[in-house]
Formats: sequence, C-alpha cells, structure tokens
Amino acid sequence: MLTMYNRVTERIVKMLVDVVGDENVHTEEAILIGYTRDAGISDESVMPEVVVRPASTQEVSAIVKIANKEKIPITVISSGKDIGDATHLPTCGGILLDLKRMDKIVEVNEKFRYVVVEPGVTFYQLYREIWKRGLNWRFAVPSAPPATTIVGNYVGVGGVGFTVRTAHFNLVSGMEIVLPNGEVVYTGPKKAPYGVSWGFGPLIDGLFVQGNFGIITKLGIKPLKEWECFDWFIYSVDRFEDVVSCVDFSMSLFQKGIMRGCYTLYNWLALIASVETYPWEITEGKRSLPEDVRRRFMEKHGVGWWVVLGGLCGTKENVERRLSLVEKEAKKYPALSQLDKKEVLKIPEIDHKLKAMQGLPTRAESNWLSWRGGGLVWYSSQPIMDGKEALMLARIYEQIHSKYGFDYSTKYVLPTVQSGFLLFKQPKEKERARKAYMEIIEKTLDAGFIIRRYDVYAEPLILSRLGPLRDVFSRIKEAFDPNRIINPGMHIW
Amino acid sequence: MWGESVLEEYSLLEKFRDIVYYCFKCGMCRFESYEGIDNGESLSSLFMDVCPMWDLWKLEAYTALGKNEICRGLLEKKIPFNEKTVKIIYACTLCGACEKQCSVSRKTKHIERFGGSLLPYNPLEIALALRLQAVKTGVGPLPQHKKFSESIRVNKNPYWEPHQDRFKWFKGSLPKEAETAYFVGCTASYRQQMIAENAVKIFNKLGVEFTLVDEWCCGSPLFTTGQEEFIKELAIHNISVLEDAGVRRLIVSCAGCYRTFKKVYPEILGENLPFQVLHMAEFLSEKIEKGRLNFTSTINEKITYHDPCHLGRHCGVYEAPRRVLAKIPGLRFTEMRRKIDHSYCCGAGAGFRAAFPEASVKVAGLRVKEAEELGVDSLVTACSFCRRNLDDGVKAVDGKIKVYNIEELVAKAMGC
Repeated sequence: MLTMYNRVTERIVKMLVDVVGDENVHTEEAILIGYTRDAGISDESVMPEVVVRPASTQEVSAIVKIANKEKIPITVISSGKDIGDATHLPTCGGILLDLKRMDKIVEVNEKFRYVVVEPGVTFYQLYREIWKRGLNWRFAVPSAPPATTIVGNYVGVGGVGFTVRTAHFNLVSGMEIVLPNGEVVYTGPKKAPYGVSWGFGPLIDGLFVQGNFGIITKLGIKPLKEWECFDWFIYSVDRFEDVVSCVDFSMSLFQKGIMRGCYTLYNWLALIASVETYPWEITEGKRSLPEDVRRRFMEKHGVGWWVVLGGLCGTKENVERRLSLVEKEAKKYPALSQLDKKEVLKIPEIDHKLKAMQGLPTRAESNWLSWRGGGLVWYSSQPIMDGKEALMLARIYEQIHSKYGFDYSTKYVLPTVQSGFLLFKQPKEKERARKAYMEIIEKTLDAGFIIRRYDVYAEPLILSRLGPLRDVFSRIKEAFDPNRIINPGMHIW
Repeated sequence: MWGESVLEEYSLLEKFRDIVYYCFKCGMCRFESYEGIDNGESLSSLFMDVCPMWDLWKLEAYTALGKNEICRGLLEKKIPFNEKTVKIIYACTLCGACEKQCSVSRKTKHIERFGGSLLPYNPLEIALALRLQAVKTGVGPLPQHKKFSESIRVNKNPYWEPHQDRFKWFKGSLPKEAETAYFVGCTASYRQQMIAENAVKIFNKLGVEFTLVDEWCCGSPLFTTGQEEFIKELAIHNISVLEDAGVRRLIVSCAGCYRTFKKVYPEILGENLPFQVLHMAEFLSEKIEKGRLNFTSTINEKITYHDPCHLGRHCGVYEAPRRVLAKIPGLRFTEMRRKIDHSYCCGAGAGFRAAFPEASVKVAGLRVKEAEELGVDSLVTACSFCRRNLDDGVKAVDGKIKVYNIEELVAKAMGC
C-alpha cells in the first residue's frame, strides 16, 4: 500500500512545541544534517523536516498521535548508532524522533535481578549506575561504542553479543510500547511488567524486535548470571581452507556442551583492521591485497588466516575442566595451533573482545572503520553449522571481494551468527562497495541463508526472497500502523 | 552583519572534504575513554562525559561529530552558512577532549604508516577551521567576539580596559632589561590581579631578576575564534619588545598565553621564538628540582588540581604543576576522576564565555561540583582564565571550596 505523507508545516511544528517545548524541537539545517548519513552503502537520506526530542512516554504518545492524525512519517532513533545498517536514516523527511533525552534508569530491582531502562539509556550509563550501587552485575553487550543504547541494541538490531547469552533478546523481560495510534501497552503481566519475560497469550515482545510496529519506551532486561572465574583460549590456522577445521572444532565444542557462548571466529583482516590502516601505496585500492602483503600483516601481529577466540565463565574448577576439554578437542584438528596469549593481547580487537565476553562494553570494532576510511557495511546471516559449508561460503565471499578490489573481512559469533562486514573508503568507494555488497547478499540468499542484519539498501532484495512470511508481516503492519507512519523505509512490510 | 553566505566555495574547509567521512558518528568523542578498566580504576566512575557541550545541550550537533557533519554539509552545500549554523560552530570551548577520545583520531595518529590519502583525523582541527571559514565568509564570528577583537585593536586587551592601566597593580620598579620576563596576560592584569601579584612575590623571594614589557594581548582569543588577521601584528609586537629587553626566558601564568607563545606564534611566523617560554608551573618545578625553592609555611588543606586545556591537552604540561603541589608542606593532594587527557574543561575558552556567559559558568559549576565531591578545601589550577571561570562556577553552584591559581598557594607556602 502506498501511503502519501504530508509535510511538516509550521502548524505541526507548533503542535510539537506544545508537547515537548521549544528547546526540544529543531528545524535548523545544521542540526538536521547530523541525522542523514551512515557509514554503510545507503544513499545519504533526505533531511528530516523536524527533530523532536521527547522526555517521557506521554510525550512520545502525544507526538505519535499528531503524526498519525496528520500522516507525517516518524523515524525513531535511540542513539542512532547502528553503524553500517542505515536503519536510523529518515527516508521520507517528516519527524525524526530522537529519544536520547529519555535516559532514565527507571528501576534496578536487586531482589528479582532486573533493570528497567528508557530508550536513551546507554550501556555506559547503566554500568555506572550498577557499579555505583556496588552490584557486580554484568550485561550482554555488543562490541559497540558505549554510546550505544540498550534498547537500540537489544531490540533494534536484534542484539547479538559476545557473552554466554549470545542473543540479547533472551534477556528481555517486558516492554512498554507506544503503538502507532499513540496507545501505550505493556507486554508483561500487570503485577510485575518487567519482572518476567512473558505475560499473557503469545510471546508478543518478539514482534517489536527489529521491526517497525511500535516504539519501545521502556525495556526490562536481566543481567547475566554471575561467575567466579573467566579464562580464555585462542587458536589459529594458517590457510584459508582451514576454516573447515575452525568451524568443525568450534561446533563440536558447542554440541558437546563445553561452550555455550563467548566465542568468535575471526579471519585475519577482522583482527588486523583494528590496528592497521590499508596500505594504499600497494594497490591504490583497486585490487585485493596480494597474498604476501596479507602474510606480512599476519606475521607482524602473530596470527594466521583464521583465529578462534573463546571465553569460559564459571567456577574455577568448572572453567579449568572445560579448558582442558577444549585442549583435548583441539588436538583432533592438527591445523589448529595455540597462540601466545600475551602477544595477541596487543591486538586491540582481542583485548576488547575478551572484555565484551565478560559483559563490558567496548569499542574496538570501531577501529575497523579507519582501515580504508570510514566505510563499513554488515551482512550477518544465520550461523554455519558445518566446516565445509563455511568454506563454500567463504570462497564465494573472498571471490566477490576480490572481483571488486576489496579484502574479505568476517567474524563468526558462534553459535548464533556469521557477521561479514565490507570495509571501504567513504565516499569514493561507495558505489563499488554497493555492487560488491549486493552480489554478496544475492549469493548468500541463493545459498539458502537468511540475512538478519543488513544495510537497508539491500532490503527490497532481501524481502523479495522472504516468501509468504513477508505477507504475514505486512498484515501485522497494516493492523498496527495502517498509515505506515513508523519508520517507513525500514522493514517495509 | 550576519546573513547567509553567498560564497560558492569554502576554501578553508576543502582539505577536510574526504576526511569528514572518516567520522562514522560513533559518539565516543563525548565520553571519557574507558581505558581505566585496564588500569584498575574504580569501575563506578568509568565512561564519564567529557564534552561540556553535550552536558549543556544533549544534542550531538553541538559535539565534535556534529561539527564534523556541519563541515560536510557546508562543503557539499547541503546547509546554509547562516546565523544558526554559526552559533553552533561557536558553541564549543575547543577544549580538545573529543580529540583524545576519538577512535579514528587515536588510530590514525599513532599508526606507523599512512598510505595514500588516509590522513590523520583531528576533530579539533575541523572545529577551528569552521571558525576561520566563518570569519572569512563574513558570517562569523559572533558579535561578542567582534567586540573583544575591537578592544584588542584599540586597548591591546579584550576587556575594554585602558592599556595604560595594564600594570596598575604593580608597585615598585624593575630593570628595563633582564634575562627573564614575566608575561602577565590580560586576565591577570585586569581581572585576576592576585595571580600577577603573587608571581612577582615569588620572583622577588627567589631573587630572580625579571622585567615586565609593554605587552599586548597575546591574541589567543582571536586565534580561537578564527580572527587570525591581527594576531601576526600582536606576535611581532610582543616578540620585539621582549627581544628589545634582552629576554632569554619568558614566564607566563596563563595557559592561553602559554599555548599562543609556544605553538601559535612559531606557526604563524614560521620560525622559532628567540627565547625560552615557560609556564609558571614549569618554572617552579624546575626550581624545586634544583633545590632552589624552599617552602617555609605549611598549608593544611585538601586540594585537587584542574588541568587547563591549553596547558594540558594542547601542550602536554601535566606533571609540572602536580610536582609543585606535591612539594607544598601540609597539602593533601587528590585527583579528580577526569584528569590529564580526560580532564573536563572549565567552560571558559575559545570565546565561549564571551558569547555564552551563562552556559560557560554552568560548565564551571559542573567542574566545581566534581571537585567538591572529593571533599576538598580548594581547587587549584594554572590558568588565569580557568581560575576566573571556576571562581564564578563556585558562586553559581553556591559552592564552599576556594579556587587558587598555583602562584597563590606557592607564594603562601614560601612565606611571601
């Protein structure tokens, strides 16, 4: 259904000012421009017509009611840090609803171990509050800057993290949602809306994950279980083809229950790009780096083509026992060799990922963006369960990167997801990156995988392959948001 | 007159055309880096905000990443260079905290090799270039900046005070020529005279023969507001009067003056200065190190130290003031969490206090509260302008602590 939107007139600006006050409604171009660009391959968006910064659920509800009545599109962001997805960019002008002012930690329930946060609460803010209270709680975190919000990460991009609970959604316990008609609903039971993750009827929280059916204004989340001891292991293989050993070894650890999370498989570039910049003088960016250059980088930092990094949490005895089982299992894969732990800690990505495994927010992945110069775009798909399949896919990706003059970079957050990311120089290589990216998406879909994190540029292609499920989503969207005002352009059901 | 720019090109921003894309808007520019985790710092104080503009407006447009986007918008002709844009550009103290946190800046600065066009990224350079461009284009600076610029031309100080009153605070006589000169600076000459008076007491007690010269404003306020035109004249005058007095060593109390002599003058003149430039803290630290400074009085106070941005982040002088304070008998020194590279600005610099007086003092109040949380008696700094703003910050938050410049405590402990 094509919706015709209306422009934001002075009359509407005045109505918005009446809701949130003059100082929280912005139409200055110097402010609006900050909401139009992403590091990925999407075009720079049109400017929003107005930025509105509510401070409460009531204000969000009032704004949504205005927008729904006046048929004004709303693009909602918490911190807008979904770098490389472009999901925060407005596509039709309208209202940019910036929720950063909604930054209250509403509740820290020490007895039942959960917290309730507003959408503007960042990971850094939550940790400060928790530690100030003397609690040693840790949360599932992304490997993203501390400016990232909990709501944005746990439900906006679906939340894949590096702790034992790899899918953040597993830790969600209740939501407050403003529906597109302005109505406020709670998904948890009335008595304890954020104490448990499920109230009445079908599990409805999932509908608001990675979607545009409503605006989450409060979110309950649970901390991770505490552990006594953390230890880790790191293995590397030399050859590209040895990804088979890495994946088979890794999956055997999960299948045998030795590992439950805290696990990342990197290719060489995912590590090197966190500490080096692209050697333009060698290829001028026109072709992939020659093997000898790649080897020089690997040797300099003491890693091979693929690196397996795993963390173990638990009691001291349990961690020691599982670590010995890991070593025993690794012996079955001769291609694997253990790396010097002290040496590899010099690579920021390793150091920071180990922190992320322990629930501490990090930013090392940000360093990737200065490998070539400001460009990064994600393509995360469902996990690979088998080494041969991983090799097949890695070959396709390597080939496409090479065809377009890029270098293949990836990390697998096992057992949940494989996260490829294409690094390029903004804006000069964007067009080329876009072609490479679309080919990657197409081949991944051809291979039968579902892409779960992507730049919205690829959305029409991805949705076209979704099959009957797309129609289901479309009907749900119609029921919730008949005027299609919430986040048009993202998840166009 | 303000108005929208009609210039087609923004030549002073052109060099950033590619670089602005290195910023991917991660937002780290407003947070204190969390390297504290590695250093065993208290976990409860991690991830503190370091950008005063974020604290004031809670809008990214006012932080480094927002300025970066304004630069891009202007270069790509997507936004007008008008009054509203200029106001945001000048809503910044250029404290440089963003640069220390920015992951792109950190990585590209320290990397061994920059191939091709991957140049170091520095958000501070972009922020300053925007001001220079605003002035060149005719849409900047802000009216208050024009006002102090005019005063500097007329009175050789930004405060509209008569030039002949610059040394009114000084009683006594000095040689016309000496190896050492004290550059008082405009703020200590007209607004914070206790700093200058105590500096003189210290020189006298140490037996340092020094002179004062016919100093003019160093030009720091002009430099940081993009009004470069007159700075060269100021530099030439100040250097020549110092040379005429046979000066080999210049001592300054103000961090802004220090940075201007150390960094701005050599850059705009294209040559090194013919004399050594020392901040008072460095001079005192040297004296202590050589055993030529003795403290005779005990000061029984718990204190903390505020790093002036121009002295610390911009010039790397962190240790000297701390070494001096550590030697004063009776002082119990404690650090604020935000210190050294991650220090929080006092809110005064780069024309911010002139153009946004209330906001400026509000920032100072935040810094004062941070100090008060430590239970200190006083907050010590090493910059006349910081001292002034922090003092106003104490009043604004109804604070109980005292604010000192380092000269005041040292003079007291020397029994001056």
